[in-house]
Amino acid sequence: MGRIAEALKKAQEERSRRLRVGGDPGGRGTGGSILTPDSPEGVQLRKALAPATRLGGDVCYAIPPNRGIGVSAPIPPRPAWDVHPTVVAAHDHSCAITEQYRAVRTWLLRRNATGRHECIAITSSIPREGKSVTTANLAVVMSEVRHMKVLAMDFDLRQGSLSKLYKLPGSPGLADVLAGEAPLEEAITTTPFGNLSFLPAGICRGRNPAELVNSKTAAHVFEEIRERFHFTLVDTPPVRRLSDVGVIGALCTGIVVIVRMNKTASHVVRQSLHWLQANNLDVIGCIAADCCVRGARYEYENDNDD
Amino acid sequence: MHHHQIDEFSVTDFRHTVHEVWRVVCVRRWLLLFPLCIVSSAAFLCSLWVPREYAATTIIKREHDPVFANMMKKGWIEPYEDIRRSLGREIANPAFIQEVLESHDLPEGLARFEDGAMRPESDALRQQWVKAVAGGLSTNVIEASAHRDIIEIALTMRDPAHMERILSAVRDQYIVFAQRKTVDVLKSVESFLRSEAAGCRQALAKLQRRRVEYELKYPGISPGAPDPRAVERSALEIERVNVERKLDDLAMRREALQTQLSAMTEGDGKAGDDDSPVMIEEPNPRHAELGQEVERLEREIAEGKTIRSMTDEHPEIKRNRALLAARREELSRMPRSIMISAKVAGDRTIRLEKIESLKNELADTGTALAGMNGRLAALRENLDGIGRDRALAIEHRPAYLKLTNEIAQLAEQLVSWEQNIAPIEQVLYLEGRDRSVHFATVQAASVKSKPISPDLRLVMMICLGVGLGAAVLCVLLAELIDRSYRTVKQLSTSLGVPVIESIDEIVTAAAHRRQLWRKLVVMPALAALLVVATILAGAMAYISLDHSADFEIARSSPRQFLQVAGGQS
Repeated sequence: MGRIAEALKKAQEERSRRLRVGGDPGGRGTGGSILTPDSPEGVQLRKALAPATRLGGDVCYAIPPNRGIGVSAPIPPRPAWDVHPTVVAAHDHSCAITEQYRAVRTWLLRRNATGRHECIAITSSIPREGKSVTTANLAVVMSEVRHMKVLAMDFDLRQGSLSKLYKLPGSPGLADVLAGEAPLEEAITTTPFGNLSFLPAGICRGRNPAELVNSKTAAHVFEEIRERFHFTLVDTPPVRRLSDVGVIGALCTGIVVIVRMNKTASHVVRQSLHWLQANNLDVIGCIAADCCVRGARYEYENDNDD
Repeated sequence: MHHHQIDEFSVTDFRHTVHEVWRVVCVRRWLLLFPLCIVSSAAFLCSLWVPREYAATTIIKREHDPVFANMMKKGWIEPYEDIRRSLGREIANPAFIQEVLESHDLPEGLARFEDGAMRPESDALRQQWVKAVAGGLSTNVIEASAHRDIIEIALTMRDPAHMERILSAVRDQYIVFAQRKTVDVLKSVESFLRSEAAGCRQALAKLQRRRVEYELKYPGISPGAPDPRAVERSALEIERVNVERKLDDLAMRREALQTQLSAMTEGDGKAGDDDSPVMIEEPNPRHAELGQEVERLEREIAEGKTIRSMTDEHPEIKRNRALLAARREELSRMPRSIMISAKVAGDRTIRLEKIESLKNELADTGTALAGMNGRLAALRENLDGIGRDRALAIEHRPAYLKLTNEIAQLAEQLVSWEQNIAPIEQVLYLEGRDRSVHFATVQAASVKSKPISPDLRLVMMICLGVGLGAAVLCVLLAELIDRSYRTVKQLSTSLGVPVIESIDEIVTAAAHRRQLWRKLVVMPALAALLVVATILAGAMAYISLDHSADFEIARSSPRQFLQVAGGQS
């Protein structure tokens, strides 16, 4: 059993224990009345955690590396949000896939020992490997961390699909901001999950997306976003098709590569990785998507959209 | 739990290998099934164009005359096997086939010139037939014994239409040919045996002449025959011994005479001076008396044992023997002659007469001695001649014995030749009356309805095997071409960056429905279609091989076939 699995098991046991103590009948979501920053358990947790970093009046807890996962804080009740069925984390908070995304979240949070604001680019070698779905799900589980402001940014200016997954307006978006046609505040959309914000790709309207990506405005936008959000997840175009990732990755603090199992050729993935590393981009890890393991895949019972 | 990360198998683990094979089969089951069905179907259909070969057989029985059968039992097994084999070869001889086809005017409807000669294309067609028939003809001896043979004649051809007729013609011709061949072989064997016997006789006569020459030249050379000079030699030997004894006696007599004569002569000179007694040697009368007594006793003993049937224990025999022993002992001690005084003998006159008679007697004794010596020399010369002849005979005896052996062998060989000639003559005599070999058709020529080639099971196995091979090849190629990552371990090992997590497949309901539709309906339907196509193709191949006549009808006129099938049902 891996360390992540052990951590997940411990987290589950801890959550169950706390819920038994607090008498939460739902088993999740209403923990705010049981474990708040001011409650005895919350104070105890705050002491255990690293010193807080104050950002815009909110408190974000950096997770110390030797403390297992950082999701032991109670999850606030999540309002209903009609998203695409593939955004599993928004639909089902307890399924295995959501837990797998939470494991990714834990890994990313533990990696950030200094508490700096992170901006992670999610990319892949070729299209349809699961970048957008991973970004959408990861952003949702990131937003479960209390007081952590998370932004899901769609930087695929050509074929951005994150707005379709979240079923939010795709414009105004990043392209409009980079073109100077809309302010950033207007482009960033709030979601039913309070900690989670969304910046759609927008519409280029005849403008060259490569120029927009390479503009100085993009760097300014990233600086502003990193100041405002604790964790930013950037959905990017695939490596093999466009060179945008080279620019976008340089603006981010790290790159996570999605590899679709049993689909993407290994040499393609290796070439993409070498290309990224050759451009001095920090590839912090990869996520294996579409693992076909018997009994582990997720299927929906109620969805109305393909 | 991270079920999807349980992939830490060793490649060398047999279970892992089996698991991998099973995984590949499960994952690529359609890729396995579709090429199998498609290629097998194609192979089945292709098998319809494989040329069919039909077989026609007829069985004949060859019964032998008892004399012929008996002859074959006695050392004729191998030669007759040769005859059988040669007949088997001859039946497929193109000249023989050509003869058969010409006699039956096959193939039918050959174009000819006005004078009856065949056109070149007809001749070429007939040559094709000859080649096809010669290649397809074979004989199989079902039963072979001295009394009868049961032979199956088989013909294999692609066109079954004329096979019965050709095979019948070949069989009839084969019977004639076999009879002719048997007679030819017998005649040639008879002439061979006769020539061998004649040669053998000549050689035997020559050797016998040489043996007679040996026997004449070297008497006594034959160890089995009595020596013709043995009697002569024995007689000469006996005579030689007698002559030698007589010579000794004569020499002693002459010496005694000379001694007596000298004594008499000296006594005559001293007679006036003194009266010394003169000693004269006289025969001892007691010695002669004892000799006669011994002879008488021996005669009485012999007569008692033979005429009067007395045994050795008989008292008279015992007494005579004791007396004989005593007399013999006395005889051995008794001197032959005694010396008496001349005074006692007579006076001087008497002495002179005695001297004169002694001189005469001495002269006679010398003459007799010389004659005896001459006879002894002649005897010795004769005996030496006989010895030389005997040594020569012994020296040439090995050559003589070798010659004798050769004569015996040749005589034995001649006997065997003559023994073999007799039954052949008898068989040929019977053959002249059509009685030695009798042929009968046990089974008439008939064509089997099913083709003998290609083999049904072999075709089925090859078609399915080719399909299976193609399927396995496709799967292997797909596995080789597929270079995607399959396990997290591969991913982490290959990329060198940490694998943060592996996310399971997310399937929406629509995708799930599509997958189910594809998995449960489309692919099974396609597979069923292909399986049905394969079964149909296989059934066609089966029918074409197992019920070729029906298949030919169905192929040439499907409507007629359906009508026939409907009528049967």
